Amino acid sequence: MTKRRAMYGWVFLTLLLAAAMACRILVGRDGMGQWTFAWPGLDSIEWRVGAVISGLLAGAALSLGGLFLQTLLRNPLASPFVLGLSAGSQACVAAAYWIAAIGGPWLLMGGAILPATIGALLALAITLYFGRCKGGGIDPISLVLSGVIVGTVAAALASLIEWLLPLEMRPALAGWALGRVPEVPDLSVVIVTALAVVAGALMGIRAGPTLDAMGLSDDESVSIGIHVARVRLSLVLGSSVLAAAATALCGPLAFIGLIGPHMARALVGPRHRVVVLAAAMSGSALLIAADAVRHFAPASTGRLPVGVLCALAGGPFFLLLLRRGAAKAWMR
Amino acid sequence: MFTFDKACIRNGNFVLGPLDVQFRAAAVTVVIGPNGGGKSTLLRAAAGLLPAVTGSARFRLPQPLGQLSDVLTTARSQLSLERSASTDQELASVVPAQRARWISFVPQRPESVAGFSVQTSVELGQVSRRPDHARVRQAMRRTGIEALADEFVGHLSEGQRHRVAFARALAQQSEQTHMLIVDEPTSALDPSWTRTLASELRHCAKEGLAVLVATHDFAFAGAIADDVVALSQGKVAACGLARDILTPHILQPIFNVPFRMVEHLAASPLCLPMWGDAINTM
Repeated sequence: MTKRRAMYGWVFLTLLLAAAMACRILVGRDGMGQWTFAWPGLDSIEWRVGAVISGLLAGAALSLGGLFLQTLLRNPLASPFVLGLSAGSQACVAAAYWIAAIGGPWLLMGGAILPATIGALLALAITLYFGRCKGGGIDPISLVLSGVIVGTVAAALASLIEWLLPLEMRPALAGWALGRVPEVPDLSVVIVTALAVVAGALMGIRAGPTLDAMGLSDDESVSIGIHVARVRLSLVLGSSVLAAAATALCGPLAFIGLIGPHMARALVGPRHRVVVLAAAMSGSALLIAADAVRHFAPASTGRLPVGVLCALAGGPFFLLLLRRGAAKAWMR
Repeated sequence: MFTFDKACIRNGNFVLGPLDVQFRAAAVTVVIGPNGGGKSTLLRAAAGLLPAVTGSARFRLPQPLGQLSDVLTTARSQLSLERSASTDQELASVVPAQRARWISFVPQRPESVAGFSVQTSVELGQVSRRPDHARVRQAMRRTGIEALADEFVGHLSEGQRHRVAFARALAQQSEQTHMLIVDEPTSALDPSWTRTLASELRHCAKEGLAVLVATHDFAFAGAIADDVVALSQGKVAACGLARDILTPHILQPIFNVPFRMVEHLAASPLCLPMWGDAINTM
């Protein structure tokens, strides 16, 4: 990666993020359901800015979470969604709603963050446990398989709990479970997500060379002075909190956390000192853009959840990575 | 000076030891032995990657390190006060970052980071010390990978990747470094790079490092070794000065193939395996 190419990458990324934000603010639907491309009126600008902030934070959190997981596992296919973290968060948040429905709403006082984090950590622990090989090493494909199964089971659990909820509580949870960027986000969740993103990015940049060295074999990284166990623990906690915060804010969103880091590496190179910020920006740009594009879908049958778009665009990208043998190339 | 004192090292189901060996500073110790004899386990234990389950793996440092600045360290070694204030340090009690300052290690199968250039990969060696660009350039020159600086490591041949890993270990070294450990470096190298590597290892020993090398290449071993440790089935089968150990009557029972002393022009004769006739008679 030459300096010049990395600079073009930064320019492109900045423009992309700005364009995505501008589109999200300009694109909307009028009262007739026709889509419009104009500066919004005072009544709707607040909502659109709210959606941009939500998308900015959730996209960055997912992408950083994905980057940390890919570094942790030396696996280019890793991401919060693929490894089941998003679904784990979803199940635990649904469970928290259910408990609150029985025990009273005060139980949900802390917002969705706490159950989401617990869910993400649990899901990651289970995925890692079953994705290990006998020797203690981690095979990239088995890990992904294990994550997909954990994710599927957790999503089914979430649906089951939703079904147990009283009817009046279901719609809120059901909309969230499909993945949407909230226009009026819960302030506590926004603050926690913002803190997680800023802290994650700063720590990632500060520990850049250490994270770079995590790409070597264990023997090599230990012998150049990395406290591998400690770094791994931080990465597990960091990626779980980030994935959980994004899920609490926007629901389980597929593949943003997978594409973001890859896009960042392609644009500015693989060193963590630069790729951390670039991954956060890529994730934000992708999610906000998806949230803007969503408005072009016919609205006669209601609004298209952004999660559907993410899965539609991200799934083929995952297959492409698999086809290109990215996992094998990384293991060399 | 590095000492294994009645040390047993466990690597999965394999147990090495009890070991009583020392690796001298400013000397090359070559570890030989049949496959599965424990060479890599010994090297990884000496690098602090595997702990000694019983006994101890100790490091004797010329002076207490960590409190002194680099300037002081150099000044002291110039005044040759090195041996006056020696301390024994248990390897297991040292944090990785400190250990990395004392010991640099090149594994048998080095891995590369996806998308990293050769230069970036070499710079990784300095992750837990002050970056020193001159030393990175020097390490790349010494291993002959200067011209590859901007290539992706993933695109290189195995031998070239070995040289990148060796350059990383050289870049890692500083005034505080006391030991260089290299696991089977020659298996992927052509004769010309094997010779370069041999002179680099001798050079490191001359600078005062304890150099520890595992190899199956007896010509290479004979050319660089001061001391030899022969391992067989997890035990030390023989150890001592190279000229005493690299002899047919010691090596033949260990490897179960005939060895012969071969005269060559430059220096002392080499002890090489000669199994060609055994194949012909089969």
